[in-house]
Amino acid sequence: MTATDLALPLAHGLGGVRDLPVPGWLFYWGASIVLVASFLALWALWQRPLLAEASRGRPVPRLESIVWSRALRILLGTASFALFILVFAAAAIGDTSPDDNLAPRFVFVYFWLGVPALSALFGNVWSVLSPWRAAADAAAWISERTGLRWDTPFAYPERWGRWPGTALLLAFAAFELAYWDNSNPRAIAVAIVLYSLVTWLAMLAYGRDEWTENGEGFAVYFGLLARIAPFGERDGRLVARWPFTGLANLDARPGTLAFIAVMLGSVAFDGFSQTDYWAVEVRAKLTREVIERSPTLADVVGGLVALTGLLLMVGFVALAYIVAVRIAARIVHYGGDLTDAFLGSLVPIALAYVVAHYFSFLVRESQYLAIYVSDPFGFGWDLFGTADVTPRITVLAPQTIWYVQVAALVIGHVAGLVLAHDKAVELFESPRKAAISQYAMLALMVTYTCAGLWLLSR
Amino acid sequence: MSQAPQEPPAGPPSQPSPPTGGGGRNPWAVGAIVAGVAALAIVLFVVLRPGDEDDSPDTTAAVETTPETTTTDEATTEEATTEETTTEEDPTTTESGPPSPQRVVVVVRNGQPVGGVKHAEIKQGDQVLFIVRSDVSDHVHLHGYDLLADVAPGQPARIEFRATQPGVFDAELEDRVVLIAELEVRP
Repeated sequence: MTATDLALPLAHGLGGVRDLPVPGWLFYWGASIVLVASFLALWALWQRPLLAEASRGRPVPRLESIVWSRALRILLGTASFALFILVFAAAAIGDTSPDDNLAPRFVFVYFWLGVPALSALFGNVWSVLSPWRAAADAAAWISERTGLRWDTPFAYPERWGRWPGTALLLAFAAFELAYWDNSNPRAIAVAIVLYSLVTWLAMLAYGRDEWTENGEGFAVYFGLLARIAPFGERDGRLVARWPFTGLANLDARPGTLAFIAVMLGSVAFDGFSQTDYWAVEVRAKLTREVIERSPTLADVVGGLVALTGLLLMVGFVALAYIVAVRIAARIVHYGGDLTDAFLGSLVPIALAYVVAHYFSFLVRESQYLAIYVSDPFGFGWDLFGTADVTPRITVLAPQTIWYVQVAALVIGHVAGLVLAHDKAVELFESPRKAAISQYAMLALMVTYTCAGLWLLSR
Repeated sequence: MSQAPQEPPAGPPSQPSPPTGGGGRNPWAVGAIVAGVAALAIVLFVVLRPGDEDDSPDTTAAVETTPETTTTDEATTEEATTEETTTEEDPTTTESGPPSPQRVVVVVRNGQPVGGVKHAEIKQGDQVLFIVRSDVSDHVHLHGYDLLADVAPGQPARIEFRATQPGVFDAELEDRVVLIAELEVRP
């Protein structure tokens, strides 16, 4: 018997291949560009706030009449809700193998990574794509037509701010990154039911708009990223504007720092948990004792270890920011609290982390769409003759992936710098104060960006 | 954030010509210097960047057969070596026969890889013979390439493949979900 006879091809789980680490020379290049750009920015950037004005943009009525038309809204909402039902059905009754079932890849790849990409490119697409919102709007419309009036029984408490959204986003991140059976379709079905119930009940209780803005974790997440896009809304009009300028007037209601920390920290933890250090030194050591006695218990222990790591990473991101703004306030003898002022500058870095870590994954996994179109449930169907497409292991050359990763981090870093600088010159009258307040912010962003680069080079 | 910044009217202590502030710079000069630095960075990058193309995989014969000799020397070194990676770059690759594969060997004791997770760097396009010796029964799963082989005490798992795809590929003991090796296939 030859060796090759023993090797059987298997369907592979999510993440069968990982990107090659960014080579050392490119890491140093990225880090150097970040440092040089930072000091150049301190010296060269404008001394009067510009971005708030630039974020007003100019109205694009012709585009608005198309993309905001009632017909398109109804069409997209219906399609999105139908897709939601399809995914839920696949999760609930489809084949239990993650590779044959549409649901795991749909939730963790096409939805979780695809919608952020669309949001950052085209604006708040989730406002028309959200199946929860579409269903709620339809229900409201029907109840109005039939004469039923629903008065929102509770006023949304303002001090809650984005905290409910933070909790729900963290719950999703924990499901994705810490729960050991996360790609089991049945577990996904349960998660969909729970999230849908929470969302619809909260919309009934607090109102559709209030909950979408504050509590629907995905809507808050995609909404923050949509501020990067060159399209936005002002006074009910669709406007075209410079990318990233929408973050200049980010409203920092309660919970916003926590929310952004979850965005950034969860991606950072996902990267960190793929390093050897985590796999060997932390996870394996902590689960080794129980793994021989009870594999099930080892799963639970591993999940708790990962959850702890996730929370620590989120906490570290938030803490680093708080320390930086405290130092900034101290060195310019500013009496107030700067915590809310610079939150917008973190969002480009959060997007950069997402792009750097998931860009190639999203491209690669998109190949599976061909299979799921023909056989979403794994029942052996072949509706369009594409059920047997064999995805390629690698689609992009490693060099392409490296350059995109490093470029994303550098661009995110520079965008963050510019936003923070603009806010500083708005806040402090003397340009000098604005500049020295940015020492601390620069250090913070260099830390975030170089940590991101470091994770990519592991 | 309605609070106005507390700006003392007297101004900061070091009043004359702050190094970073200083209004009234010529924006064109600033733009020119920024552009100059960027251009310099690009030129340096292009000049200093290690070549991507100079070590492309050799496209000699893609043969799937294994030299049978490997089975014998394996038996003799059973348990003797804890860890070995012999990179046999066959000097006679000139169409005289299949090049001998690069061997990556992992020894598993008590369900754990001896010496920690094995790292192996493989050049894209090379033939690889991945061998796992284990004192427990399990399945070895090489992710990505999706190759599976049984392993048992005295019966090492042998997975041979051509590393056509770049990336980092995990090998696990499938039942125990223990990572035993990471194969880095580099272009």
